[in-house]
Amino acid sequence: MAETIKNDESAKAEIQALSAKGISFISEKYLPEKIKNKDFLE
Amino acid sequence: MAKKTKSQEELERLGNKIVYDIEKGKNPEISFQLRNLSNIVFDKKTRTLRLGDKTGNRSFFNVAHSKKFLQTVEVASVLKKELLETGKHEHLRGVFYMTKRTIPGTNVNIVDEQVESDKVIEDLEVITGLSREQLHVSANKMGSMVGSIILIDSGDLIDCSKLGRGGYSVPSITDELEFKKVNAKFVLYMEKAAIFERLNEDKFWQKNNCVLVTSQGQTTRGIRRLLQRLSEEENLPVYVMTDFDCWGFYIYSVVKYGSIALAHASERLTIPGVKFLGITADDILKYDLKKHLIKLNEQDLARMKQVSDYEWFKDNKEWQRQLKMMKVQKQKFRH
Repeated sequence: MAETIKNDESAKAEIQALSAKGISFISEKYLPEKIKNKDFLE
Repeated sequence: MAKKTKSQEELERLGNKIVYDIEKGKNPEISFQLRNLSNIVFDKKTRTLRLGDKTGNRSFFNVAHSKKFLQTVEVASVLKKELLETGKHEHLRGVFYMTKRTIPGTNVNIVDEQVESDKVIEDLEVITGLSREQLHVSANKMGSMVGSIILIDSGDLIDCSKLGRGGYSVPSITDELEFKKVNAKFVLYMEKAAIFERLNEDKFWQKNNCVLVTSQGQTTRGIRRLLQRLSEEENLPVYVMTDFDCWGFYIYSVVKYGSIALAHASERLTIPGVKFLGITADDILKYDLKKHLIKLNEQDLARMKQVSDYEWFKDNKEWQRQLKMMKVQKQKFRH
């Protein structure tokens, strides 16, 4: 990987971005799926 | 007179030791485990940040120490007389004002800035083995909880499933809360109060039988202790939800492994079993959030370097993969 990282090659995201999928996407789809599939990092 | 508490006894022991030194004509000194960076270790067995074995002295007849020595004795004295003996609690800011006085005959204040008394209180935790909470010192409370949990706070029965939109305002000191009835299956802790409000309005905790906790950004000691107690005493899995950035990863890191500043309190604050729920780089791909990615700025990049160098993230393939995805978004996030 290149030693210097250019800004336009890196990115972050906010949880609220999930709202773009629908106001209650997080509570009705995202979280139930994550929890059901035990899709966690340790 | 009421029986002395353990906290009173410990502070009295410290005072007696100093009086003993003086009576013997010795240089009064206090020795304790060092709290500087050179003595912070990542304990492989518990997988938490701890203090190492190095100890240091603080003595009165040492120009480099005498002010700190005086501050330590003054703060200890105030805590014992004003707080422990009366059973009252005071904020860090209040303790600062209670110790901020001018030494008679001089123009020297015992403390000039709050950061000085704050640091001495942390030193006293190491010196006495008591927590700040046991010393009756609180900090600003910053957090809420809702869910299927009933608790007792200072004699008041609180049903966290009936507290409207705001939820239970978690106090700064959570050691003394009594969990009366916990029906939840897990705890979801989130960085953002806005998400907490969304989930509360959607009654997520009711539909999914859980407890929701938030603390607005960095996790306070009170919240960390509360999460740890729910994990250990109620056997609840704890999941952390943050933004996909290094600041979010760090929030998870502190809850799980502890922090450098509070390494001496890791035992009471860390939760080795905590899991990171999201959002992850994989979530961004799966839910097609790529167009909502935000560029990293200079601070983000510097922080990312530090976080990826942490011992506990360094030897973890999954976390290195997440950090790599964050770094080379153009290639990795492209299908």
